Amino acid sequence: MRDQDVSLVIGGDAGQGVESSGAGFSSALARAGYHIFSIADYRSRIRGGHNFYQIRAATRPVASHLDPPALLLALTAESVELHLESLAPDAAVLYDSSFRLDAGAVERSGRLAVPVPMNEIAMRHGSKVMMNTAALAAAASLLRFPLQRMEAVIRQNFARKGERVVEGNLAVARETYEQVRRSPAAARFRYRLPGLPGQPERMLLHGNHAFCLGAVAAGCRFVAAYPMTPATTILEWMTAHAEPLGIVTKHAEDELAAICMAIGAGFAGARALCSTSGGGFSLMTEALGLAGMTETPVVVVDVQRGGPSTGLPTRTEQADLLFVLHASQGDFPRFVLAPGDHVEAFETAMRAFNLAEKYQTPVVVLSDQFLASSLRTLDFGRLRRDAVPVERGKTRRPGEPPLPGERGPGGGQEDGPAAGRDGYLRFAFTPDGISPRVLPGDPEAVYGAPSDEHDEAGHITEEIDNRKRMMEKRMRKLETALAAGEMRGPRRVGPAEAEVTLLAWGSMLGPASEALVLLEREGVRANLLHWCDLWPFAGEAAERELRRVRRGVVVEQNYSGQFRRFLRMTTGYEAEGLVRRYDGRPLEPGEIARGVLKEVGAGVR
Amino acid sequence: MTDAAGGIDRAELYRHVRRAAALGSDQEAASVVRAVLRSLGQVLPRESRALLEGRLPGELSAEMERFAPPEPDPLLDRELFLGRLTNGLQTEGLYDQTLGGLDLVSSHVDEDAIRQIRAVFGALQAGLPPETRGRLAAELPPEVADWWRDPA
Amino acid sequence: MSVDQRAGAGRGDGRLPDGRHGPGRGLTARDYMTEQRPTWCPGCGDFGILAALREALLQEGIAPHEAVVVSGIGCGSKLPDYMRVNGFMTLHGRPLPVATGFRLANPAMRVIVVDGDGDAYGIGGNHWLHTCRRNPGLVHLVENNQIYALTKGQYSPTTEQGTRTTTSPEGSIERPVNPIRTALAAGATFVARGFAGEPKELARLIREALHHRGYALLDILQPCITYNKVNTYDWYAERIVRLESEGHDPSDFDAAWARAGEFGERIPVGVFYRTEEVPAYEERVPGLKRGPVVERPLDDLDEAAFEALERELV
Repeated sequence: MRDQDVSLVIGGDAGQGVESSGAGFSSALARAGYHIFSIADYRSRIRGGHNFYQIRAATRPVASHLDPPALLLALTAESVELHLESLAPDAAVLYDSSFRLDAGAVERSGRLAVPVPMNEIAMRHGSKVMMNTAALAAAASLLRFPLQRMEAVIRQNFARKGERVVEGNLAVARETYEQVRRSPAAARFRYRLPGLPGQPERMLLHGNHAFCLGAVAAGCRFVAAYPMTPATTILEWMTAHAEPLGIVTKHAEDELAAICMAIGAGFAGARALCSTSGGGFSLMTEALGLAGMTETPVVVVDVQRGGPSTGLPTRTEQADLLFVLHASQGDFPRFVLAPGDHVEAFETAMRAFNLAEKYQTPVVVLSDQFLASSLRTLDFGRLRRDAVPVERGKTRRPGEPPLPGERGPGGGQEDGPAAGRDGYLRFAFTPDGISPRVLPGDPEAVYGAPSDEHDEAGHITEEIDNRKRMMEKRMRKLETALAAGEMRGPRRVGPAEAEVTLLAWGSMLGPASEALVLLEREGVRANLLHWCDLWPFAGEAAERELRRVRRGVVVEQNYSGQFRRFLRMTTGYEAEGLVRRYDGRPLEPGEIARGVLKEVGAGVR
Repeated sequence: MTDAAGGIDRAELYRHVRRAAALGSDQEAASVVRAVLRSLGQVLPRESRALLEGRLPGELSAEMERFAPPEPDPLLDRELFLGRLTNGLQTEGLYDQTLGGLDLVSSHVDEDAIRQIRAVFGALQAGLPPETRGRLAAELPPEVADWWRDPA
Repeated sequence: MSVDQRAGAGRGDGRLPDGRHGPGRGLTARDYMTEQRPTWCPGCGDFGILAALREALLQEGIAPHEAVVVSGIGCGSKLPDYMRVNGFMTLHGRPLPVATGFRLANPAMRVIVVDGDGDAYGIGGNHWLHTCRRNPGLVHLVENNQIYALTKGQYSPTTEQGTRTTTSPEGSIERPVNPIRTALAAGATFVARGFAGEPKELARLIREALHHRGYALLDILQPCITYNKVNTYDWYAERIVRLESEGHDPSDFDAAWARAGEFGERIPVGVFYRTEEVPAYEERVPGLKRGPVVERPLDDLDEAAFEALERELV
């Protein structure tokens, strides 16, 4: 079987159903056996403005979108103007025959112009709304994608709207499919997606879906959030599954309430999650410190979008890194994890809940719009729950047997304050900084947790020696986590020895990995170091890898090169180059490869 | 301080309180006396109030009844007993140029308040039979009873 | 002076003075005591609130481990540090959402919020409005002293207009919030006012609030002996009238609204409004049908259920 790797774009106005058309076609292609990676590029407005959806279908697993597209499905004349130049030289442009469009210009650019009376067919069968169906059927026909696969998706998607709608759409699809199949242009189009027989069924999921699956696998029982793009789907997915899974979800009045509710639930003993984007996270910062000070487990996922302020609400960026690392006043231990892809998002969610409870402190997961909203296929079995078993550390429920060190003078320290009548010190000084935690409700362990500095028993105090020891105790948890090997060094993709090393974090794993292949084609031997675990930073592991780097180029989605600065801050390593993008659009492998070549210039080879 | 019938002379009462609590005027003493009587009215049962009221000038015995609940409030403790006195004392200092707000000098105002209370207790107890004194001590909140037993 | 006395406890050995004990559970006032010594000013109204809360829990037979007191930031928000009960002293303005999260995670425990007028009606005002209409099973005690005391004397949302403070040297310009009417308008299902100077009566009101199904607001007039020389113990005592003895019907919303307008020569205390018709928020949360989420094992999602979730994504 020939290797196939085809990208196509559906372009149209906001309000034209570009997203649902793209998702529907992605689903049809996935069921036909292809590996899919899709991204939506949509504006914040509900109606108006150009939107597009890019689908990549391949015969092998793919980790990123990839330019150039071989097919443009234009729902407006404007999309032809906008996308023509970015298409493959032998691409086809499918558009409605009624568009006032210079087909000659399309042909002169070398691309194939395929006008189809999609609107007319749709109208004839009842409604202009069905034009999207016509367009998808036209694309399917051009790609030699089996009609019955499209029909199955139509049946599924429109089932809720009744038989008449289903039949109308089916009629539109059949007629368009047939008309394009017989058109002379179809014969000249060289890209084919006829379906891959014998492939296993696969999941088709967003990064946010993967994160949610990880959260429920980890026993997440409480989600509070305020809707904010691109994090909203986490709250929605969790809410849709709340009853069968026994999860409390709360759409709060604002982000301050959302994180405080999660902290309250975490204090009660539930594994609690708070999902947001950068703007919401900004509002949550004070409460993040509350969790740190009261040693309350909570997981916050910041699905980054373009900032600052309202910024680019529906677009991607990785510009919250330094903010999240330092957010909230004062010193307190926190974990920061930035999963690279869907599988890692799943695993990171599970790890985040373990870390939050084992170390009794907030964990921030840094995702972004690109990872959160990109749709990709995954084989069943890739999301391995057993990879991260549930661990709560020194935590017990009321009525369970006492934890080691839970009782006794000063929680193990002879010079600690009196343990009070309960003989339990919630914030006992311990060598590893982690104090045995009894969830509220135990008759033998009644205690308070103040946001003020406090002693081992949880009483407010500003006493000097206690303050020093309590600060050291809390911060010691980071050393404990590093010593316990909780934090991973970089993942290396590609050869051990390379001329150029890409240095990336978070969602850039896929595009940067694919860029290696393109660089190889250019004769550049490159590899990639990718970081998911950012804080506490596994410095030794990072330095070990960085010592082998000949020429390092950081690849990230922000203006100021935050990860480059972060590497300098943590390891003293100064990357030679920086490939960045800050226009809200995800870096694409070809763009990364070109950027890397430019950064290291003539020096390669 | 008491007349032949065992009644308490108002002017004598104020003079005593003024002297014993180092107050600046009879007017100040009068307001202290009234405040303490109101607090007593809230913690003493009706019969005990009557024992004291019978010896007070009419307007002062009315003060004792002013906020007296049908039953004494058992949760009224030394803090609430002296609160209406400390509320009237100087508790705010000068503007706090370091932290903002008004510097507070309230930490030990209870000592002044207690002295005032003990002064009023001293005046009330003059001519009171020991058994009545003992009975009232048993009915007062714990620390207030100590002040009663150690009047000024 | 003993710690117990200082903390405004009942008399004697921790038993209540009239020999009462918590009903049937062997609880005594001492069970709610700690060694902590309040840092409140002598005579502070917060002592009355502390005494009343302990009494109410005792009388209701709610043991210290069965309740959590969630507080904000302010003098009175230190309260959970001064009694033996689970406590969570949170951020300024945020105890309501923290308490709501706790309640939704573990509705088996009693959740009591203690904060001040600045916390509840000022910085946390948004949470307050939404809590009123949300109706979670929380008892909310607002220590309303009409001043910012912890920051040493600035005007608060309930400070009377024209009051001179360090942030209103010419007299405050804003009219004070009317917490009772605001709560009524926002849909609160239990709205009451108490007075810190009469702890026994206050304890009775807290008990009523504890019996309420949903959110119970108890606005508590609390003298600040240091920074509020206007709204004193006697100032309140002279003005207080009892809704109950004046024949007020707490089920009558319009009557409640009318009485809530009184604050001046007459200040009504007692329960303004109460309805048990509205379910508590947590009663209707689908995710709680299987009981408090904190009581379930974390790994109760079996393989088949997880696979079903994955299959939805095909």
